[in-house]
Amino acid sequence: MNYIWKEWLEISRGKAFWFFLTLIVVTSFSIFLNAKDLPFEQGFEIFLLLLFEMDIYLIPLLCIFFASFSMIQEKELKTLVMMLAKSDSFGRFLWKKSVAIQFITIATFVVWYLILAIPVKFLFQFHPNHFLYFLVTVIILVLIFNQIGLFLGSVCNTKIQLIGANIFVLFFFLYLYDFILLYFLPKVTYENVKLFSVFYFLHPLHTLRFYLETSMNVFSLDYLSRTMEKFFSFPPLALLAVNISVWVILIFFVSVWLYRKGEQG
Amino acid sequence: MKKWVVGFVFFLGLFSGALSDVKAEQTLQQLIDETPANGTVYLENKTYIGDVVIRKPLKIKGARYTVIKGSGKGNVVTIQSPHVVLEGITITNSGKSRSTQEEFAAVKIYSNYNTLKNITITNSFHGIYLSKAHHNRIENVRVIGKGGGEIAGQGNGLHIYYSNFNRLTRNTIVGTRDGIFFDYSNKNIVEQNNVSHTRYGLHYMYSDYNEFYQNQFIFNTGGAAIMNSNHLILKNNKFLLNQGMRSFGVLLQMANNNQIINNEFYQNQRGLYIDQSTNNFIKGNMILQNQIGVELWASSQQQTFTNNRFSRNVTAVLSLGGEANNQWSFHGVGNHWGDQARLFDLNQDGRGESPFEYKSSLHKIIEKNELAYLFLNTPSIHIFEKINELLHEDKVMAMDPHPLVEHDEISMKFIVVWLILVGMGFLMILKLKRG
Repeated sequence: MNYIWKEWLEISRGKAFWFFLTLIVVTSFSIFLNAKDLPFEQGFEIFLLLLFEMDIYLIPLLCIFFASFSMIQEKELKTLVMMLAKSDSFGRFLWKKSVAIQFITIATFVVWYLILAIPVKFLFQFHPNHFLYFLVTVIILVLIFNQIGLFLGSVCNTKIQLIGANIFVLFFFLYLYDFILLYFLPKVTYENVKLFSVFYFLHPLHTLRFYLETSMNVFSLDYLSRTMEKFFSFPPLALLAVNISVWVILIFFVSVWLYRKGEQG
Repeated sequence: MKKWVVGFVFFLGLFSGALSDVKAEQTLQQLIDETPANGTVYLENKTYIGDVVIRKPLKIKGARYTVIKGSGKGNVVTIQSPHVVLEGITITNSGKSRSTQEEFAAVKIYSNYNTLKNITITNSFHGIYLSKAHHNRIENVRVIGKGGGEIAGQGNGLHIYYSNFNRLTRNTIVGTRDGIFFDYSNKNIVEQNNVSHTRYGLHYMYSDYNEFYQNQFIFNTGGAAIMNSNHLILKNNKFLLNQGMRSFGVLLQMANNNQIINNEFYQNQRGLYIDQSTNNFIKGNMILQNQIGVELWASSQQQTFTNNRFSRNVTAVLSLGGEANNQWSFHGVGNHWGDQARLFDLNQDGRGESPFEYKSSLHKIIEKNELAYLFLNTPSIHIFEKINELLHEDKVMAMDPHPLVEHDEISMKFIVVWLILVGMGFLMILKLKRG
């Protein structure tokens, strides 16, 4: 708890966090203004989907930059060396740092979306379970991209290096990953579609969209072709679990391993 | 002996009491049979046991909590006489067997000039089934299906079979197989109905000259599937959020000479999906934020698109399977193409100075594999289109000789709200920095 408080004091003194918050508030409010004329009964789901459409661009960008710069700052200000010298291992340090960053950013998003839900409730028919699914989606999105940011911050040594790595990772998740899948698409048949499905859903943005749309009953999985049925055979919750395991847990241990390897080198 | 006689009489009394109870529960059919033709049956706030058959013109009026519960083995209410009015009743538990000769329904109508009003239907195979029944009115009927599950395991909300000149108004259908199903039925009017969570909200088979106004189809696998049906009018309807790999707002398949006018297609997988159909007239529709605005297969010829508004679709038009011969303007009026068309309107007459070619390269991947639809809502697809545009790998999907141009006016209110928000943001940062 102390570490979270210390991190909050550090973050709140800088401009980055307030820029981060202003961007979220302004963009989501502009979506609210655009969505206000939607029909009362279905407007809430459409609004949440529009908000998610914005979040898939905004959250990866903000979280990766925010988390990675917070990490590199510890290196540049030598606070990391000081903490490690006081018998703290890098694993323990990264754990505390991850918890603090995750807690602060997730709390920021959740609090803001709860505030935003108040005017939305007056405008549309409010479905608490759908709102909860949306919050879960946002929390996992933040969790994944924060952890990727922390990973990049721990493996890069300079800010220039980090900016390059951040841009590459964003490009990878937003475009490159899909281009690779599109390249292999003509070779996908009924026999190998399940393997293609694994790679498709290993992309957190695909899985989170699938989870959100199916839990809100917006995306129909009825009357699919045999190939499609095989493609969608994994349950959304299992896909979420896989994504968290790979992009949060595994990447945490890879960060520690690579840092130690770098130290030894 | 005396005791035995008393006991016997007492037992007989009990038995006859039980019998009279059974009799009381069977009185709905009796009530109907005993009421003279053109009379009214007022039902109480209780559950009546079906199944019943109405063989004479009369009015049956329910109270607030009147329920007619079927045996689960047949039609709950069968109307064989014309001029029957059924009003304010909940009807439940029709037969659901698929191994019988007929498909059962909560209400089955075999006659003409009947009115069904303010009826709720639950736990039934079909909701209302019109069989060779003409000139009927179905109003404010609410059919609640099972939702999901095996497609053949449930029937349709309203099933119209060989029935003409009927009027279906302000009905709500949720979670059935198809919302409203037309089979060999002509000249019906369908207006202000609301259909959601079904396979096809509306399903037309071999049905001509029907009219369809101000209906709303939301969260269905398909909004309206019009197959082998001609000369229909679809006007002022809304097709929203019909999302899924095979979903569409309206499907025209082997459907010719139909008019699709002033409808709204919003957030569907495909707004309009046209296959093996000719000579349809598509005018004044709003086609907004769909994955594919109009998907046109080459087997479809001579559609006319005029004064439609395409806006923020992933792809406005997708022509698949080769060249097709469709008209993108009518009497010199083309379509609005949104931000995708950068057109000059030098004389400010609301029309572009040059023809507009809408190009796309998505047909290349979609024709090869249906999984390509998965990528339509990803950020990468826009870059994919741009790359193919630069490499000249894209193809003309639509050629509009008279595109329409809209002169945007930025609202003052919008600017003020934005300025306030940005100002507040800066003030907050400044205050925190000082504090």
